[in-house]
Amino acid sequence: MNALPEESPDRQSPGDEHQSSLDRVQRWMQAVITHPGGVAAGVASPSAREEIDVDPQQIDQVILPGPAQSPLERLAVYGNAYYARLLGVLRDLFPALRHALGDEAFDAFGVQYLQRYPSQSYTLGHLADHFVQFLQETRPADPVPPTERTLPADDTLPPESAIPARPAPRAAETDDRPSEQTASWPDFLIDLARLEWAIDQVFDGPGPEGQPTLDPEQLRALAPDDWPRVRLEPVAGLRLLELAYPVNDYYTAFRRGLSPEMPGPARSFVAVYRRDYIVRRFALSPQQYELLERLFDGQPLGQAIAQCVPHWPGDLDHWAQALQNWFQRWAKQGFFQRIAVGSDT
Amino acid sequence: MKKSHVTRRDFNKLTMAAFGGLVTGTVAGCGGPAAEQGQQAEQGGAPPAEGQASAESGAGEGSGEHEHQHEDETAMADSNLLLEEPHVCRGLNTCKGKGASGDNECAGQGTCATAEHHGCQGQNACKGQGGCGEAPGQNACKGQGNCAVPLMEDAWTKARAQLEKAMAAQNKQLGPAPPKS
Repeated sequence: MNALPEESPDRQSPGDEHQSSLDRVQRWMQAVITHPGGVAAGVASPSAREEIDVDPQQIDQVILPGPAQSPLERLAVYGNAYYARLLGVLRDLFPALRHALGDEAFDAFGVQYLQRYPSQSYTLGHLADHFVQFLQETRPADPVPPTERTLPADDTLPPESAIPARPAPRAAETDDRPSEQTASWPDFLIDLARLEWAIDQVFDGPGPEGQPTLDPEQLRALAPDDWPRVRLEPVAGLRLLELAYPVNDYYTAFRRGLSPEMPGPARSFVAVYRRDYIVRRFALSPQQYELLERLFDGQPLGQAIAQCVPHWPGDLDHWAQALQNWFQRWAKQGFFQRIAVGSDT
Repeated sequence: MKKSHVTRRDFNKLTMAAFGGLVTGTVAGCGGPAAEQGQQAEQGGAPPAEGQASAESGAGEGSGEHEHQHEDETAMADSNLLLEEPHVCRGLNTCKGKGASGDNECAGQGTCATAEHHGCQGQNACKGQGGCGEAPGQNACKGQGNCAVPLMEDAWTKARAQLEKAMAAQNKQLGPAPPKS
């Protein structure tokens, strides 16, 4: 490294001059190699020039050339490694999405995401905070016509869309594909990303481990008149997802190494939660989802049931039996952390 | 049937059913040592675990490095069960003469279920004899089916498609399904 260009007097620290110079170079290098536009754009960026005011043509004032590489090429080694690392994190966070997109398309897509939403946190745990939002923001406004749904060069994609075209089916699989009129490749990808992100958040977030669980003695002690007023609090981290595609099944098939193909659209519902440090998924019917959503919004048991069951098809005996089975399974799975008994509404 | 008027008696019945299930499930929950053993057994057919979340989650950086251990608690389905008899609805028989009437000429042409008919979730008598859900006829155990047998229309469509795949994977022929009667 060369001697640094002069630092402006008002930024000069009174302390150790070497330490001050090292701090400047580190901040400058961070600004350069993390710049989403590449290291040349990084050198020219205001945040880098605030530290060391050189333009890319004068970069050898800071970084010496190597035997075979220019200063910018040497910096690019670190810039590329930085983005390769972030891309690797995205691959790990969204393995099923990567399977659906294919490696090349996923990586191209990931780079676009990292350029639009550069990492802002010291922890990689926040790297994908905007990923689903990014998918939604860049979703094509209209369904991609079937004629464009082959594996093309990137320039056939809508320029504003980051969602790649769906890979062309292999010849033997075409009959299993959902109808092009009804299937939406971007919506499927968004749903899949939502599920995978939920799994990761439940994995990393607070969970019920170590917390007191529902006490059967407390439940037994309640008088029947209290039952409708019981409010059920979900365990920490539990999430309910409503999806336009059966991506939970897709994800399970992927985890089993079955190389699933894109399913046709079908509303699906799933609870994602954690027990004993294992993230679990529990497929729900529309009725189960509606009831759980009301309960976890804070409605008392009686009110939630009274607002749901009257518009469900079928007779009351059927739903009474179903309710018993559902609550038994949900309690067994550990959906509920605690109860409170309050007013009827 | 839409229920425009739910009486207090109906309401009490529904609430009692829900609360009763809650109590039963809590007692049989996954928190105690005995229940733990049951839970492990239940996970036997699930995807293999990749790593312990507790050991690898760590703090700060590294969320992308670990793999999750997670399970699909409702994905205990085994599509191979569709290749076994009895079957849960029309067109799901796996062999000649295995339909409900016994006079079908080919796999996939039976007229109805040969599994014990039932009307609701969890009432199936054995593995592979539950209805509905995402994997009708593929439940791993007694009492794990999602709905009635014979199947409702949506469930039948899924089961038929899954059977066609399972049969094709074994190079077996499946005749056209009989119409819904």
